[in-house]
Amino acid sequence: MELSSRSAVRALAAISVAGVLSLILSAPAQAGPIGADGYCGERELCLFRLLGGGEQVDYTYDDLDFTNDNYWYYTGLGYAQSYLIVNNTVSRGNNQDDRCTATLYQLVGGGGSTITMPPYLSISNMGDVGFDNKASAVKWRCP
Amino acid sequence: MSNSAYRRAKVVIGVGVMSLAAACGSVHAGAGTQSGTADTKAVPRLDTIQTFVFPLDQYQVTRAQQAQLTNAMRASIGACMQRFGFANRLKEKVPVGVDPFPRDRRYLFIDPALTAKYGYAGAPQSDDTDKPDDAAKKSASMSVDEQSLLTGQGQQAIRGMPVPSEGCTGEGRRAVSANTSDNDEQLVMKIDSNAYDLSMKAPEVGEANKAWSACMQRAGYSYTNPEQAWEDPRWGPRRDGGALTEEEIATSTADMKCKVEVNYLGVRAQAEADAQRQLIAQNLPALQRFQKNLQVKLGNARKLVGE
Repeated sequence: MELSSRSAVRALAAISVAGVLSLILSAPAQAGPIGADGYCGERELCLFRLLGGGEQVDYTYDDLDFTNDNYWYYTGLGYAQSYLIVNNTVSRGNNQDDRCTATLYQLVGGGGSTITMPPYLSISNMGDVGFDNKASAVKWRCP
Repeated sequence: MSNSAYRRAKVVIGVGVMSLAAACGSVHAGAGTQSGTADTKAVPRLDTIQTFVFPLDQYQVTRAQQAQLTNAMRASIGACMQRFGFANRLKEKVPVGVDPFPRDRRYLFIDPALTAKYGYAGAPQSDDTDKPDDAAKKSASMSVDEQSLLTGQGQQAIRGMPVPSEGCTGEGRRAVSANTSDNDEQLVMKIDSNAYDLSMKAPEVGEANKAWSACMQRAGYSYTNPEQAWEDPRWGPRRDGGALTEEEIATSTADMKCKVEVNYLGVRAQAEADAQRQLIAQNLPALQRFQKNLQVKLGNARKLVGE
């Protein structure tokens, strides 16, 4: 009886660990942004959750609602989507586009204060420009 | 507020603006601009801030100047890539850009005539300057070596030559910023954000929020501040491409009419102008250096693009 009870506890513990890992490592189905793959390439705005290392997300197109966008993290083999939401958690960013300007908005839908990121601009600490953990939307302009 | 009441409010705004013009000369009828007055008690009546002149505007890099700096970066990066034997993909000059949205969105305002048609989305934006669809192809046409050379990530020698620090992009930044006294590229951005935050704490803004909330309450809506209405999750499906609802149209239109009724734009613009003046005074030497450095950069830019 005691043995089976211990087994049950172990089984429950295993299920809990698996559940937590699944929560950490997996993202909701169809999470945004559109076209993101975790790799920060040319023609993209790359946003990071932490000042050093950590999760990142790549924006190719307009996205006026970061509340349904998830970061990506490096697994050692490639990038996988994290459960962490982008909205109000961005700490740094690079505009890697060579001609388009990205404007970050404080509020979902594109409102409130803004940070304009011309081509090649890199902001290593959003706190330095009063925008730490504020970004909620992005709009591109390509002249 | 009924349509007739709204029309009356528009007339009051018009009269208010004309009175201000006559009283203090802060309105330039010909140019259609209005500036934040130094008298903090005088709040202008505004139904747009599109042409409102903020104190910090004189320090902002203009769109034309930004295009010059971007083209200089492109010229420098293109030359760097060529030096390593790669194609110069950046020969074309970038024209002057435009703002992505009307400035009124800073205070969450859209003309009520537009919310009546489009809700909080406002008028549809022209697609002519949006990201082209082939942007998703991103690095497909660029080799790994080119990417390393562009960014400075990856191998530090390519084709027998050392990669510049931070790649050709870093080389471009250094070329544009040569002979400047400070790395102050983000100074105005910082003051702009801080002034916005500071203005939100102004008692007048708090009062305007209360007046707006009371107006919305009379119209049947329960929001403490405009941010709650603007970011209401009920509009999420429309932002993701879903249909615009009658509920959003009604709420957003009541929201904007209430902002007109309480002169929300006037109060917010005046409070932010006051905050900017305060921060400009605190940062004046740095801002003066910023202006000098910008002129140096523009001079560098002219040389880099061969003008």
